[in-house]
Amino acid sequence: MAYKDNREYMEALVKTGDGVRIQKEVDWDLEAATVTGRSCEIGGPACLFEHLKLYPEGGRILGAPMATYRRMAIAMGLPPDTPIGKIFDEYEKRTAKPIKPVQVKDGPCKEKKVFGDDVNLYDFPVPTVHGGDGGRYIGTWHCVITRHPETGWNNWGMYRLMVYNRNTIAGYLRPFSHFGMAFEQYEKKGLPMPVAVAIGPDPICALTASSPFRIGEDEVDFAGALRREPVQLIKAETNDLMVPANAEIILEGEVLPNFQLPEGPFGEFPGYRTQGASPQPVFRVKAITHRVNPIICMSPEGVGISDGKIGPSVGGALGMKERLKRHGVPVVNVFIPPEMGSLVAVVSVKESDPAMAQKVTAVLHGRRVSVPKLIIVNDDIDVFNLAEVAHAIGTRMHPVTGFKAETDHQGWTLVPYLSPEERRNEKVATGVFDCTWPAAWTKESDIPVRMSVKNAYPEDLQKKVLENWKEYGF
Amino acid sequence: MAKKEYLAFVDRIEELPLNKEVDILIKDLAYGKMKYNSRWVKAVVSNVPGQLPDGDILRLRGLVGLPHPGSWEIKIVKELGEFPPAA
Repeated sequence: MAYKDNREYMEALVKTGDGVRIQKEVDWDLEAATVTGRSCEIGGPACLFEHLKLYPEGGRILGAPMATYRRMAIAMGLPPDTPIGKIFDEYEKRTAKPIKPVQVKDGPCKEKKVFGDDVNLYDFPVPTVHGGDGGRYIGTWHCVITRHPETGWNNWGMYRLMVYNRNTIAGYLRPFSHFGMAFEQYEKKGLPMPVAVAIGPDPICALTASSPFRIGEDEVDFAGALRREPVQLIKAETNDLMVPANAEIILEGEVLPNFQLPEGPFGEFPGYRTQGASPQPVFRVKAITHRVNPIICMSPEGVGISDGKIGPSVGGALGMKERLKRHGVPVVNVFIPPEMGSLVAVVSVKESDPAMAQKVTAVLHGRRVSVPKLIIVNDDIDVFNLAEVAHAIGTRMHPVTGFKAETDHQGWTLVPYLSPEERRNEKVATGVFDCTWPAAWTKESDIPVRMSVKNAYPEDLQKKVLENWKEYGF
Repeated sequence: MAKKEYLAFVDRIEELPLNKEVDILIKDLAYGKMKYNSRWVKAVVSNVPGQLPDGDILRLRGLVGLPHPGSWEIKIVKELGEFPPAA
């Protein structure tokens, strides 16, 4: 059974040791993020801050709700220790059969309602996430809901949202994003775009909003698929958008056409604050509905493993795998290790081919680049095992023929290694580490034999050793 | 009366006009529920301590959010409205 909200989910996390309720009073101004950031850096639990300074009754903060694959497994109703590869398989299997949402007439997100001049974002303990950020961020693990005016496509996305004043938000809402595609249509006509933001939707809804589904696909259908039951939606108060009924807070309003405010700087998922403040679209909040004592979710993006690296990694990698398959690449698995700042994808392929690296690169870096570095390995390497991947780079990648760099791709400019000029021009330099054996090498004489336990010893001896492991004294 | 504190982001500190009126986006650093609230103001900024006797403390941060060294003061002349002009 799916968790209907973060409250049920948190109970499950506490039971398995993957969540902790923090009763001590904590400051929303950096302290909650510092605690959560440290928890992420040491692989610790999600943190529910129940007492926040200045807000004795005004809300709570849930830090790092899905910053481990264990927590993702729990959210999906799988055993917490499910191997990463199995989580990927399950995600792929479930999202192949989308489940449409159901509409409900009432829901917890309508427990309290404020409109117009009574709207005040400062009534909630919106956290400051890093020292030196541009302000307080109400959206770091949430769901931005918009509808394309011509196609009716309902997009759920996750774009960071900074509070500007009591009823105004500036968001990092890029023109090439799915949000941007709908907003462009409104802006061309000089019209404001209706928008709703679900703060603290159930864990799978947030996961889905963070994941890169295809243009025109309604993320809510995939949330239903991952939950294995439909998401309950309810109509917003001031526009026709449908919002998750069990979310903690719903912000409703409009994105203003042809008007921008400075947003940022903000420390992002690769683990650095790379860019300065920049003019970004503006969301004017006209109504807020919320639960009593609502929970704001916070992903403390940084060097530690955060939700922003775990959540999108599965959908992103599976999307890359699907594209490679469509282009005839004999791909086995793709993984985007969060430990590498989500800027590296490891791709395993079934066979060596003189042009394999070029084929993979053409597919994954041919258009807009989302993951600028690729490591290509043979399928005897488990892409989910970083030690094996690192060993392959050290032992199989020829420094002269195995590495290829390119410049001037279109892509994310949050990449820390880019020069200021590359960032200004939105040009991304990419690199490919080809760790596959050359296609011309024969197994019989050229390809070195891997000295792992699995490869170097007879199978019956391996079995015997495993069966007697404790008897050896381990 | 205790001085108030404000925050502003200035990418190139050498381009910030000093000792004359400038339109600037500031954030309120007074501890309270409205900390980091944005204000668009006309103000005078100085980097000489005491030069604005009735001024307040200004914390300046640069492109990637690091503090600009120095001791900055600000005297707010007037509020300019809710938002800066459209970018």
